Amino acid sequence: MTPLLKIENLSKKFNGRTALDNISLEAYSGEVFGFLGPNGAGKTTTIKIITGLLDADSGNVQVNGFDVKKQFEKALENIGAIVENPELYGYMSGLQNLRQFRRIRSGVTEERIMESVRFVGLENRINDKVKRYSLGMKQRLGVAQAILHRPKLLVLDEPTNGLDPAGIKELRDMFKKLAHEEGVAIFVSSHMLFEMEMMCDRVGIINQGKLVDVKPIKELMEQAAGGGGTVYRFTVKPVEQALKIIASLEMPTESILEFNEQYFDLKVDNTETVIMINARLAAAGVGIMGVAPQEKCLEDIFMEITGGGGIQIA
Amino acid sequence: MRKLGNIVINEYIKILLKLSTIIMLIAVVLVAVGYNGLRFIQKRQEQRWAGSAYYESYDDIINRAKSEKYEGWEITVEASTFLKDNNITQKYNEDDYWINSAAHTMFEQKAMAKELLDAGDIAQAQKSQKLADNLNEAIKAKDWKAYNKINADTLEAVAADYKEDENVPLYESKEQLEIMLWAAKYQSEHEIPPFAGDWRYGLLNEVQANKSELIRLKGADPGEQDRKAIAAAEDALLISQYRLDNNIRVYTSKISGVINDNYNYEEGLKFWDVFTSSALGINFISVLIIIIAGSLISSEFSSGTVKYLLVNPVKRYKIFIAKYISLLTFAFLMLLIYYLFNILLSGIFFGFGDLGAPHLYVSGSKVLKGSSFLYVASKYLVSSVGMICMATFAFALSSVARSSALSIGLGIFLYLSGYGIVAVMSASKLDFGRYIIFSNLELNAIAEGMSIFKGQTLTFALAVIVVYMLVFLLTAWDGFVRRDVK
Repeated sequence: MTPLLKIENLSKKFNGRTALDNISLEAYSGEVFGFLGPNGAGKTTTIKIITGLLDADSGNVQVNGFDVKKQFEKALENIGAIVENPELYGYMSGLQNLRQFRRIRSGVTEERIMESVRFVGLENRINDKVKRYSLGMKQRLGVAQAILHRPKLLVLDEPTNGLDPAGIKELRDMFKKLAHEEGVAIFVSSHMLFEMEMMCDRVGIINQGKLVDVKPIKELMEQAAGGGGTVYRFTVKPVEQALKIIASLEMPTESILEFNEQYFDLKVDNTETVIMINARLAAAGVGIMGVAPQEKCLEDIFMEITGGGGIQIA
Repeated sequence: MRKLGNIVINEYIKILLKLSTIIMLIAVVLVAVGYNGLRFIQKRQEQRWAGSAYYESYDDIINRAKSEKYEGWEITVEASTFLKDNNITQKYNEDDYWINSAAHTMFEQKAMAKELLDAGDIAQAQKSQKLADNLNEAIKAKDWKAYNKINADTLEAVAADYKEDENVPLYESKEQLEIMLWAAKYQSEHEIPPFAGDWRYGLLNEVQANKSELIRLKGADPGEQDRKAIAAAEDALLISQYRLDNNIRVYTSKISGVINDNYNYEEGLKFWDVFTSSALGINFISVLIIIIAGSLISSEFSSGTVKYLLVNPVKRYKIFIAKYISLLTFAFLMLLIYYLFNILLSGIFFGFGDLGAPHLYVSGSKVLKGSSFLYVASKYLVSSVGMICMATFAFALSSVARSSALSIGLGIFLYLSGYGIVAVMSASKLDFGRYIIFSNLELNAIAEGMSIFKGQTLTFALAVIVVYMLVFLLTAWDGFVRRDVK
């Protein structure tokens, strides 16, 4: 299968500072490809090069077989994009904004505009001026704009920014539907692992301009999980007594990651251990206010994948 | 091409949907209203001034003559008494105006006849008496045509036995006398009333004055002749003569600053007087256009919308060209709106009656007729050269600096002060100032040889403008098409 998006050896420097260092990756029709990295890792720079807003110092980008630099118009026929924030003309209505795009893209009908508007659920507010939109509505309009001409590749720069949880879920479902049912390739960047896990099929991890790893999201999550168990936060009283009981359980001392007067964080291998500790603490008369698994943060996973040492997280 | 057209449509929608643009369109209309309103006030004041002209009553004239006893006071007393007794007013109208001077001439001739008779020159005395009698008859019959004839005949007689030395005090030269004779004959033959309020009489005086002026200019020593002034006077004469022969009252012409005393204050400003000068208001419109030009590109950057503008299957240079086309066409659209509103408003304030007035111009010592509307349009175009140059400058700056405030500010500042800067350079003998664009924008003045720096030709000015425009556009191009969008 030929990739819809093919990035080869992309490098870019800004005033001598390396922003991208020899990045190569591919995204295929029908998949959601997550581009994961902390802020400042080079995600937006990559997206701007894919969309032709920036020129790479070296390397090239092909979209559906067309080189973005040499065959710009043909390549862009296949791209729909949101870059950074969805900044559209505030003094126009949503519809007027979409018509601006309609005039300069081929094959977009008035019907298609309304179809896209319904797809993002903006039909009730489409005649309002964009300056009166919430960030979430702007984000939806941005998506409507991106899918307007039925592109084969969607490039989305942190599309869930500013959305409420319900909106995020809706958007996620939209993207999955576009990819899995309509065969669109989706290249979506994010700095939140949790979000990636919910919608991506494969993930590329970028840090400090280098592509660290590319793998299916399942593998990544397993690796993250297998890298030393899950962290649970025990909110108990008194903490001191609880820690003594833990110590008596002959668990490795480094499994206690953090503690203070209110709680302690414990790394455990499986849920049975949590149940067992819970029972012991209760039997010893320790007051248990709460036991909750802690979301593994991206930073932790980076530490694990890159092997720690020398990695700075912006 | 279809896409380019669509981008232009997009740009127009952007320009028009911004509130500031609506305000600008209103401003254009207001400039037209303001200009015409001011000219209307001017007209009203001139009319009031003309209407309130003070006439000394006949009694006052007589009393003053009797007490001051200046030379010929008896004639004044006689004439004024006569006019008073016959109920002739001093008003500016067809009936009374000429009788005032006719009566004076009549009593002069009567007195002269008496003097000549005393001196024994009977032949001359009879001539004077005859003239006085003829005048008396014309006055009694209130027949200005007869008065015209008397004037023409009298001058003919004078010219017939004209002697250089004798007649010098009264008539400057034989040529000047001949001009007067020609005018008097023309007036008599063409039945032009001897009344300054009649436009043909005014025009006849204008032709006469133009002829005299030409003779005066040509009379200078060959080394000191002012060729430009002679050429201008020749053109002015051709046009005034053409109007007289063809009965053209209202007209437009680029000849100005030459003798033209055909302006009637009582009637006041007319449509074409006002409309032809309305190009003045283009200075205001230029400021508005510079504001649009200075934000056309930079506002896309400051609002972030440039990313969504560029992430489309359209090459950047097409967007650039479309933006510049939009700027130019919008500028001319504003001019067109201003032009049309001026026609409407000048018509409302000063009347629509003269719309068909021809434009007269001289080509190869022949007078040709053109359209006055086209003439004013061409004035607009020449006046808009500076506007287009500075709008392009602001456009280029906004593309490079990506800051609206800087582009608009500098654009307007230079537009308003550029001419002053080069004028100072010219006064300080800094000759390289001729290569600065502001020395070359007043194409009308340069064509007439009145450039800021001496010896500036139209070709030179156009070349300088083209070079500057190329530099502006290439800079703008580079800023927009080639640079990264960070």
